[in-house]
Amino acid sequence: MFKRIDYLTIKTDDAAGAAQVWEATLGLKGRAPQPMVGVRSISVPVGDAFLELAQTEGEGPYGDWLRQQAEGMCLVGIEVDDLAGAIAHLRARGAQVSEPQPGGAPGVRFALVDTASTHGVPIALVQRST
Amino acid sequence: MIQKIHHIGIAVKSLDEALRFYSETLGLTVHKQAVVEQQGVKAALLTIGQSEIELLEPLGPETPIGRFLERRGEGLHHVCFQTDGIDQELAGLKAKGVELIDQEPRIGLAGRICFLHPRAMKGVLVELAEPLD
Repeated sequence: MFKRIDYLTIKTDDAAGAAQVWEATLGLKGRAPQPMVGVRSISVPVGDAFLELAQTEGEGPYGDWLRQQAEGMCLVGIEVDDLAGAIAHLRARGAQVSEPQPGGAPGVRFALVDTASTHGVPIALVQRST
Repeated sequence: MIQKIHHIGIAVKSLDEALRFYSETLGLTVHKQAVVEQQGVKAALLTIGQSEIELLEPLGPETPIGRFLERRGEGLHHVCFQTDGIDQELAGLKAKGVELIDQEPRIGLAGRICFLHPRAMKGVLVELAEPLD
């Protein structure tokens, strides 16, 4: 049900500068910046997952959420096949999970698991439509 | 060469309590569990796809994870990337003048490992690992 780590978001005050550091230090190359509402995001593919270097940029739900996070690693995306089923599975076991909502990229839906359930780790359950 | 995210490390107060969520609720399989005295942790690795989640409980307050919990509370601690050649990787980092915690690889739960200094990666604690199994 919980298939793989899809992404790890790293909050930074300078996404382009951070991308340079990741490439120069570890050879991990970032893609072109993706403008999302409220966030400037650079994806850095690594294996079957990616790092998301995210910088707040204006208003928007994601930017507003990101603004409340500390710098550094701040969100783990876990891919699921069936978002509604995963939410029901977790809620039945006492975890607090948000309602599903559209993600920043087309065809992506996600829900956030409350950090009280995850021992302090913000987790997004992510469903990618094929 | 960096191949993939090997694991994401999470600092927790109690490994048993954290396993209730990550193993019982999420249904992830515990791949390894051990006390690593040298690092001052009781740790478990749980498989998720091609990567793992590492839960780290400190053996005492005066350990790196103990101090992290005191300062930041439970949560994301480090990210570990798998490499097929940790010696070459480390030599390359040294040649570039990258600030390191470990000058030489040591044995950790994930295999032969080393940590970069978080100052080198804009505040992110990065581990490299060459698995032994």
